[in-house]
Amino acid sequence: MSSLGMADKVAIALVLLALAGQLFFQSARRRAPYSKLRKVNAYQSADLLISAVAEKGRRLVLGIGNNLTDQGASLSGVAGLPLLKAISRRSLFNDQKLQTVSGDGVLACLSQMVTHGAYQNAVAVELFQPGEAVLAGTTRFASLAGLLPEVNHRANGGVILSGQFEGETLLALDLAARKNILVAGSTASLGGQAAFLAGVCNLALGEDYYAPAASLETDPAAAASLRAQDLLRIIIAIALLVGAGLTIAGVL
Amino acid sequence: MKKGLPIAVAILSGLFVLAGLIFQPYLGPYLGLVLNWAVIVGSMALLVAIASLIISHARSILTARKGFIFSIVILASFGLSLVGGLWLGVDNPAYLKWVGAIQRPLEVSLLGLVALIMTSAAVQVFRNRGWSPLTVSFGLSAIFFLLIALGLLQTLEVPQIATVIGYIRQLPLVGARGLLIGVAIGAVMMAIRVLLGSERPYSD
Repeated sequence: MSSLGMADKVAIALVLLALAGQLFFQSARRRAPYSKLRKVNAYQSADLLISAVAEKGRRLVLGIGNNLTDQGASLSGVAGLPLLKAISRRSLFNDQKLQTVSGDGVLACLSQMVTHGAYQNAVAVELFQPGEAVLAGTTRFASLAGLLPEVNHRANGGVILSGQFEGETLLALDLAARKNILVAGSTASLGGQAAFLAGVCNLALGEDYYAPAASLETDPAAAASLRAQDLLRIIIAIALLVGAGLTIAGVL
Repeated sequence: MKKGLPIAVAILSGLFVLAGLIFQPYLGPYLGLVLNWAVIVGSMALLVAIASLIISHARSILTARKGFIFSIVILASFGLSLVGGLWLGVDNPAYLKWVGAIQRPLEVSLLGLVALIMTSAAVQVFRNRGWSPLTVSFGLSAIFFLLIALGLLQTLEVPQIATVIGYIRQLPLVGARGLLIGVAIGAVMMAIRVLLGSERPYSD
C-alpha cells in the first residue's frame, strides 16, 4: 500500500468518485432512469435500423469485434454484448434471425450464451441455433475474412458493428456501402474510429461507445453510468485545465 | 442459485484482481495464479468456439448450403494446420514458415486493399457527411499531414517552420489522448457496473 504513487492515488480517487456518482444517480433516478438522459445518435440510429430491418423481413448482422482476450485485451472488447442483449430481445421472432459475428473465442462463447439466454427468457429455447452467434476468426484479419461474407449475404438489411475494430474494418464498411446496406457503428480503438468516421454515417466515439444499454433504454444502471460519466468528464476537464494553468504559472 | 453463482464469482474475481493491483506486495503471487486460471478458462472457451465453428461449417457442407465450397476450404485448411502443428510441433521452423507463407501474403494483400479503400473513403467523407466543421478539418489536416510526410516543407530548412511542424505534429496526440480519456471513463463506469453486479455481459 505504501508503494502507491501520486498517479495511483489520483486513479483511486477517480474510481471512488465514479462509484459515488454511479450509486447516487442509480438511487436518485430510480423512478425515471431515462428521463432527460442524453441519447447517443449512433445507438438511436441502430434502434431505427433494427425496426426497419425487421419490417422489411431482412437480416441484421451484428459484429462485436475482437481483442477481448487477445493482445491489447481490455474491457472495451466486451462492450458489444449489452447491445447484443438488447437486439436479441427484440429480434427473436423476426423472419430473419440476427447473425452475430465475433473475432475472439471467449467473446463467441459469451455471445452464444447471451443469445441462448434471450431465447430462454422468451420460453422458446428450442428455436436457438448455435450458428446464430459464430466465431469469425481468431486474428484481426481472419475475423474480417469471416465478417465479409456475412455482410455480403443477400438477405442482409443492416449491419451494426460494436466492439474492438481496427482500420481494416473499412473493407467491410465499403462492401456494405456498395450494397446499399445501412451501417451503425461504435468502437473504442483509435484506428477503428478513423475507419468508422470515413465509412459509417452513424458512429459513437469515446465514452459514448459504452452507452448502448442506456441509449436503448434497456438497463437503468447503464443510464446512471452515462450521467455519472458525463459528470466525471466535466470534473476531469476542469482538473486538466487547472493543472495546465498551475503548470504554466510555475506552481506545479 | 443458477444465476446468483456466476454473478458472485464475477464480483469476487473482479474485487480480488482490483485488490491484487492495489496491495501487490501481499497479493501479487495469488494474482498471478488467478490470472492463470483466467487464461485456462479463456483457452477452453476458444476451443468451444472453434468446435462450434467447425460444426457450423460441417452443417453447411452436409446440407449443401450456398457457398459450401468455402466451408470445405476452411475445414481443409484448419485440418491441415492442426495436423501439421500436432505432428511437427507449433514451434517447428518449417511449420511456422509453411503457415506464414500462406497467411502473410493474404494479410498483406488485404492491407494493400485497405490502403486503396481508405483513399477512396477519405474522398467520400465529404459526399456522405456533407461540408461541416468536422469534414473540413478532416480534409485540411489530411492534406497538411500528407505534405509534412512528403518532407517538402522540411527541405526549406527554416528553423521556424521546423518548430511549427513539430508543434503541429503534437496535435493528433492531444486529440488521441482526449479520446482515450473518454474511453477510459467509459471503461471505469462499465467495470464498476460489473463489480456491482448490475452489468452481466456473461449472462442473458
